[in-house]
Amino acid sequence: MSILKVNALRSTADGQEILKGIDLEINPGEIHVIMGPNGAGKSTLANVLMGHPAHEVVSGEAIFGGKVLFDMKVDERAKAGLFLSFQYPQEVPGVTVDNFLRTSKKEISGIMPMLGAFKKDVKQHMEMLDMDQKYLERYLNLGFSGGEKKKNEILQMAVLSPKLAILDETDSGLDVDAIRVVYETVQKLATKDNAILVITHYNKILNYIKPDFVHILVDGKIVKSGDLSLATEVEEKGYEAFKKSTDVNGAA
Amino acid sequence: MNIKEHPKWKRITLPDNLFPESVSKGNIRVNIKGEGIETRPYSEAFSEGIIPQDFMLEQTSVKDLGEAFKGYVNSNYNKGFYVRSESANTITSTVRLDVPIQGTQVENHILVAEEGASLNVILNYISESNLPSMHYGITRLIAKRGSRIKLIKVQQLKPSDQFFDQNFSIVEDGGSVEVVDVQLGSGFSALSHDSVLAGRNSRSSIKSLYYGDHGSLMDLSYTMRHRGAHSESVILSKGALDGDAKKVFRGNLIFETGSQKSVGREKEVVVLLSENVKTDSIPALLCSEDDVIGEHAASIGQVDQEKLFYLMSRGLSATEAKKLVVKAAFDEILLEIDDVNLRTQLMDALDGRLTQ
Ligand SMILES: Nc1ncnc2c1ncn2[C@@H]1O[C@H](COP(=O)(O)OP(=O)(O)OP(=O)(O)O)[C@@H](O)[C@H]1O
Ligand SMILES: [Mg+2]
Repeated sequence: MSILKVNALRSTADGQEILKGIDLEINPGEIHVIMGPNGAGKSTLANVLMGHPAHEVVSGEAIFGGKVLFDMKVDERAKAGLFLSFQYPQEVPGVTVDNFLRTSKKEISGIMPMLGAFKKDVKQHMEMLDMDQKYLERYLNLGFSGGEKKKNEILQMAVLSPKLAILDETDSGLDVDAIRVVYETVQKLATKDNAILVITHYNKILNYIKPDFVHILVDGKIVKSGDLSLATEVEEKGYEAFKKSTDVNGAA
Repeated sequence: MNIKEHPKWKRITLPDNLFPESVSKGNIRVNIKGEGIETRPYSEAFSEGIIPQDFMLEQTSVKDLGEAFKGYVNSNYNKGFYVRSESANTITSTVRLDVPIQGTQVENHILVAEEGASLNVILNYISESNLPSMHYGITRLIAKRGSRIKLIKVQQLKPSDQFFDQNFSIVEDGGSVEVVDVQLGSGFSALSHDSVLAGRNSRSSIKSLYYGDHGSLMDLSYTMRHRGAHSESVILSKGALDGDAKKVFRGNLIFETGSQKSVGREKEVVVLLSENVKTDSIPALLCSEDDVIGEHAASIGQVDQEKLFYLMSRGLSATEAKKLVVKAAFDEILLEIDDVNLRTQLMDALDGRLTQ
């Protein structure tokens, strides 16, 4: 059974149609990459799946882990195993990273994590991400650099071990070394039972993760899906070629 | 003195049963840490003439709860303290006053820091009766040259209680007064802080935190009067309102003649947790000097949607997420409470209130 199956999904925000019919199926053990020009609707897709209140689903459906995704509240989706690494993570003063990780783990797993084992687990992931332990005592994302925020997102992913993690431009804001560290970690977190959906503009990350599918999203639609070679095609030709193909399929 | 006329306020309707004639007994629990502190009952200090006339700051205040309230306290008080920190008292001593509220409690306090002295005072108001009770009080703070007074006031009364509290302070050259005011309970609270920055380089700050729900009414008035040059004031008010609570905030920055190069900043943050709350803000800036800086900032609104979404995407329910955002907003003020036990107790109390 697939982890996520999206059918003919259309959405609006502020009365404007953004997603214009998305089909996507993600199975256990798979890594998918979505690429596309600015404003194509990549973050919107991620937000709609997670349940952002500004976006309205107008038609289509999504089944996540056997359940109707759009019937669930945001926190219920998280508890069901959906995770979003935000393009712009929020700052929350007054709550330490440590405290937040524990609260979140408790909410998602339904039980208070064993303190010793939990600490060890966090420490291990922080080492893997090349993060200083002192961040645990800092307020969540407050005053973090762009790169530190992104690492902190992946730390949360590692600790929460979701069924499906959507990474929205986690690479932006990371320097070359950090990109390597972060995506090597992401690749290590991939198992045969979970799945990862990576949104990106860059091929750089493909040195560290091995996607099974690449999708090109243009103007609210997936205009082409394929394997890794599609990413190379984007690098060579840009999105213009794909944009034309929507005109052909769409307006005709 | 008997107060016959019932005062009327424009924005908030005062309760009917104001100024009861019979005042309850009950003792304030006093706890002193440190040395160089003189304490005696206010009445004793008053009758022995230890309190000079110019310490009666309410006589010249500009913003308070009004003559009726001032007169009632001065004619009916039966408890309160005169607390003085001696000069050259280099270590900071802390005086903690726990005030049990049952029936009608009327108090007068005076806190004095002599030249260069340092004084911490905690006034903690707690309900100790199931019957509706009330507090009427005046606290005066006198910070002499180069001294520092930090006053932490905490009100954790039950919803059927009323809290009427007036504070007056004067700060001499290079002195400072810091007030932290935490209002977590009581169905009706009216309070005023009127501070005179009399000396050069004097400082005065009021950091206030409040939480109101289920029909609670609050009138909060903060006034900074800059009189000395290079003086600096801060008014920071942070609150959360739920249910059909109503609150009025008055923040006054007054720059009198002679207060050149002074800076006054006021900031108000209100988190609205329901559609039915009512919040009025009345900031005012009055300048008789040109060369001053007066700033006002306000942020009043629902809990940030993006923040809620972020927290909920990590498994927190809408309620949990809201709670976290409110507590986060309050953190800056709670951290001002150095007493760790008191701070923890307040955080727990706040947690309890937000969960209801
Ligand atoms: N909350 C919203 N309200 C109104 N319009 C929105 C909202 N969110 C997104 N949009 C619009 O939807 C379109 C797609 O935005 P989206 O953020 O999904 O693009 P993207 O593919 O992630 O782009 P980028 O590569 O720049 O991150 C844009 O035109 C954007 O302005
Ligand atoms: Mg985006």
